[in-house]
Amino acid sequence: MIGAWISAVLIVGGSFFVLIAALGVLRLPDVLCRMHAATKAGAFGVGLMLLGLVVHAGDLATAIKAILVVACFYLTAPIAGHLLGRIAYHRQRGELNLQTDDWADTIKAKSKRTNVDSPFDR
Amino acid sequence: MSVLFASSFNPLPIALHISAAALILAVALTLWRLWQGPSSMDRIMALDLAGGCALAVMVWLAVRFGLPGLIDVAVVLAVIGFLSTTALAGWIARKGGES
Repeated sequence: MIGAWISAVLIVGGSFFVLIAALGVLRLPDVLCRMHAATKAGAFGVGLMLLGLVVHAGDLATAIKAILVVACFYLTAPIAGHLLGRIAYHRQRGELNLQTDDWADTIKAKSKRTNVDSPFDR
Repeated sequence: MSVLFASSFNPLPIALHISAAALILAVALTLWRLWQGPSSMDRIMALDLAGGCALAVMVWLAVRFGLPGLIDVAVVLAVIGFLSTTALAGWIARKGGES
């Protein structure tokens, strides 16, 4: 019976965090802020819901598959977020309201050297 | 308080109702951002979060209807969500132009 309580709390908490992520995606002001809400809170909520499923099912196969899902999600979400954030930075640098901008000097020096300012200019 | 922990009381149906409401609201808000998003990056990011919501819905269905096979669907959804986000981001980056 305590297992039902634990999985109930985990499932409600996970869906609550997914809801918070969606709320942040709807309400926050610019692309990088929305990405901050979507990646972290969304991944944490999905992880909590998977943990609730494992506690509810209580067998080894489900646990191994849930670990596989969480590993896929947590390894790939930063890569996708990095790609999108990079493009957003290059496209919308003027309208992002950045507090600090450490990358601007590097980009300026590089574009002076190569005379291009493209997202794929490494 | 001891009524709640009595062996006849099962908290899981109530928890599943609450989490269904939260997940429906989350999908609706994410789709609203996908519809409205001012730039392509907003739309791609909303699509990524919609994939996460679909994964959470699969977990909800697996608990509600006792279908442990749905976690295989969750594995495939996690991989496909990453691949689609990366492909769309690469396409946007290569396309150039505004927005």
